[in-house]
Amino acid sequence: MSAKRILIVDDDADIREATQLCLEITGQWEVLMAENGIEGLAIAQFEKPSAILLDMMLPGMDGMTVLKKLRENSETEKIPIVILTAKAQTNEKKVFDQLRVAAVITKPYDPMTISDQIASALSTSDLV
Amino acid sequence: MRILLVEDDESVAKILHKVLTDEHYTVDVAHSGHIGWQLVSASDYNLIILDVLLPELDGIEFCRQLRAEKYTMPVLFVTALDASSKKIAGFNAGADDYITKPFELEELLARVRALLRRVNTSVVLAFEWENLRLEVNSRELTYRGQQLLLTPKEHAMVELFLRNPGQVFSRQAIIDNLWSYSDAPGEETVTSHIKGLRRKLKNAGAPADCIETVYGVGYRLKPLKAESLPAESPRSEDSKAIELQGADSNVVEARYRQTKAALATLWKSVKCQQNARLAILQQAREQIQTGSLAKELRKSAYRSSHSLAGVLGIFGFTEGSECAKQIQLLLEGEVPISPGDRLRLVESIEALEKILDEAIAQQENTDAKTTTAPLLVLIDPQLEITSLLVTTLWSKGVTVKVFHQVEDLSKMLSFESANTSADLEKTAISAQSERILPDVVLLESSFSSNFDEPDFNKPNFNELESASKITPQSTLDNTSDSTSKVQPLSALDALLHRVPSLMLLICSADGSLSNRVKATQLGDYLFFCSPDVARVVKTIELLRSHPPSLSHKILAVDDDPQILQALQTRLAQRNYQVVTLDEPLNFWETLQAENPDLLLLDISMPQFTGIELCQTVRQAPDWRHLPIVFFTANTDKHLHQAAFRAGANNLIEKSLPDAQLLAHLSRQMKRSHIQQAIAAVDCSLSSSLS
Repeated sequence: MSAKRILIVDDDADIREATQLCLEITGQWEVLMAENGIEGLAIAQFEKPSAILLDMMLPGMDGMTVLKKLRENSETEKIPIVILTAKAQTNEKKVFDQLRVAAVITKPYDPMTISDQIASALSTSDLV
Repeated sequence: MRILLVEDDESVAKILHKVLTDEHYTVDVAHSGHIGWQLVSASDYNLIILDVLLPELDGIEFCRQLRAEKYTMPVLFVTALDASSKKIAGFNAGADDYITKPFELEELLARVRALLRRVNTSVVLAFEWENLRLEVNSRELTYRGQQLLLTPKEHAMVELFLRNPGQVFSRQAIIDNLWSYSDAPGEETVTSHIKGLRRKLKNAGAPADCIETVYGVGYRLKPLKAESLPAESPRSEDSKAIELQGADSNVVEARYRQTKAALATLWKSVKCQQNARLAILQQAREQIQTGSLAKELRKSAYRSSHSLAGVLGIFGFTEGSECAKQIQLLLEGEVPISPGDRLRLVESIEALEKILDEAIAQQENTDAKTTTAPLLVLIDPQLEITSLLVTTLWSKGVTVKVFHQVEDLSKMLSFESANTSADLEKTAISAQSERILPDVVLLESSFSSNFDEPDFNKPNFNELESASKITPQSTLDNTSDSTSKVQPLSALDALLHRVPSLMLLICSADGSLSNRVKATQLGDYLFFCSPDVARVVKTIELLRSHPPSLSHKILAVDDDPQILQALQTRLAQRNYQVVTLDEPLNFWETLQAENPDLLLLDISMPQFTGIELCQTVRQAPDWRHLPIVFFTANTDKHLHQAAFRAGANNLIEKSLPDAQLLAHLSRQMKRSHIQQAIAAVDCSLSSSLS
């Protein structure tokens, strides 16, 4: 299962690092990281990870724009995406559904279960 | 079901292995008690079949040790010894059953089945999932009553899933459960078996997704809907408790422990950034109190509170996270903040300040109590213990990383660029490298062939202690790798020096004098000749529970206060705690009160000379092992020799540059700390063996 790769897009270096640890150790994922949306889009296109963990509050290009661009691109449209957000607004939830988001995880997340949450979301995602 | 067969007679072992594997058991065979013990340490067995007469470690002693180590799996003795006294000894040692050679194979299998049944609290005749059914005694597997024709491995795989409902098995866990060590395949073999199994189950009418892929984790039987579960079933669909049962649970638990430990380590390096974020909030608070919060600072404070809410929550400081969220909410947007909200903001920032201070203080307190030193284990590949060692340590929640070249390890620690003495000084005391090290680093490299021969013309650390060879140049040669091509042994030496608390355990296949001499080039570390996995694991556990002290307290005695003042300034910059004494008359009281890690003595002093003080310390049992370094401007060789006769560990010149002085002191203290740790481990090992 070590071939499974996940891309974390989060501007906070501490959160990126903590998430990386949890996913690598608990979930045995290979982790790719991007600190902004543009970097995230580029890595997603060229590395084609098995899943993307996307923070909504990003500097510059925000998470929602990144999500839409990922879905518009034929090379990334089928990658399962898990959203990280402090609080999902009602209008955002509708967009998440339309854009076939695999799961929405509220920040701050529980580091001991995030790997299970992602695994569970991806096992039921129609994009897998 | 995994069985360990410990039998020294190869022909008997061969027959029993065949009979048991024909019954779909996974069987590991050990031909001696020692090998059996290594296997027990590395894997979970459901049953052990044990011969009584074994070379090295006999069956009864083996069994006794098993029970002493709290292993509870059933043990079946198989032996030609029919004497009642032997049977009684076997049962007293903790055996569950006894069968005497010659015996009927059917009787042996019946006893094995009976013992395995006892592992379960209730007698189970069949395992079921939906319409899939496995009869325990006949081992018949059916779907809707129709027999399934599977290969033995496919059959064993279904049995594994049926016996552990809901549990997710990684491919490696499936290999560990279904293949013996001698014929373990690659993970792709599991994938291929799973595909074949899914196809056959689907052909028999089972749902296509009955064996579910849990993304990034492994495989399991798809959990049944709650209503279709038998009423008496104790399990729920996604019960974490169920997932943690069985052979895979140790790995899952170990991963949770490792994640927790890794997060705690990470917190140490990120906590300072949180203070920087707090500082922005404090600035904002000051402006709020004066009535005007600048737009840019408000944005910046908003982002800081957002980051703090996320980071503190992840690292377990829930109250701080909630407080930061509250601040974020109050700072959101651009509309002017109402007087009431301004007050709430000030209060919340003050509260967060307090929480963060407490969180950091509490963490530091915990760190001081629980810090363990990273451990480097050098293993000769000829020993063939690395794989077992990794598995065993992993199962005990110890983080492990394996390297085959010391250069790769150095690269990981970014040491390859530290070639100048100035660089060396920067890295000598820094704990940065320790943060990214796992608990144990295994360096699998042949000590006899890959490491360079000791260069007896080059002064090493031990030789530096000879008074006649103490020169600034010799010190520089020893402590800095300024050569462009780093030789393996010197690279390892440099690595050990640069990570102050790194402990080394050398496991050599060859205990020759040549190898032992090479090992001494690296300083005072543990050297084992042909150790087994159990011994290495035990030692690692002991070393981890007796880490070398990280304290760096020096008592410097010199009658010249100016020299002491200069020394204190030089050493304090490198985080040494220096206690100075310019009055030798008060030496003994100061020594007792300060309990230093190293004593730095001037030689020529009024009232008492440094040599007299050194002799006095060496005579006191409590202080016999305290490292003593003379610090002198005197170049009289006779005086130097007298200092070493009095018991000095080293003698260094006062004119030595800072980097070299620090390198000397650091090495001396590390050596002393390691010797104390080794002494504690030796003591524990001796008592556990006696």
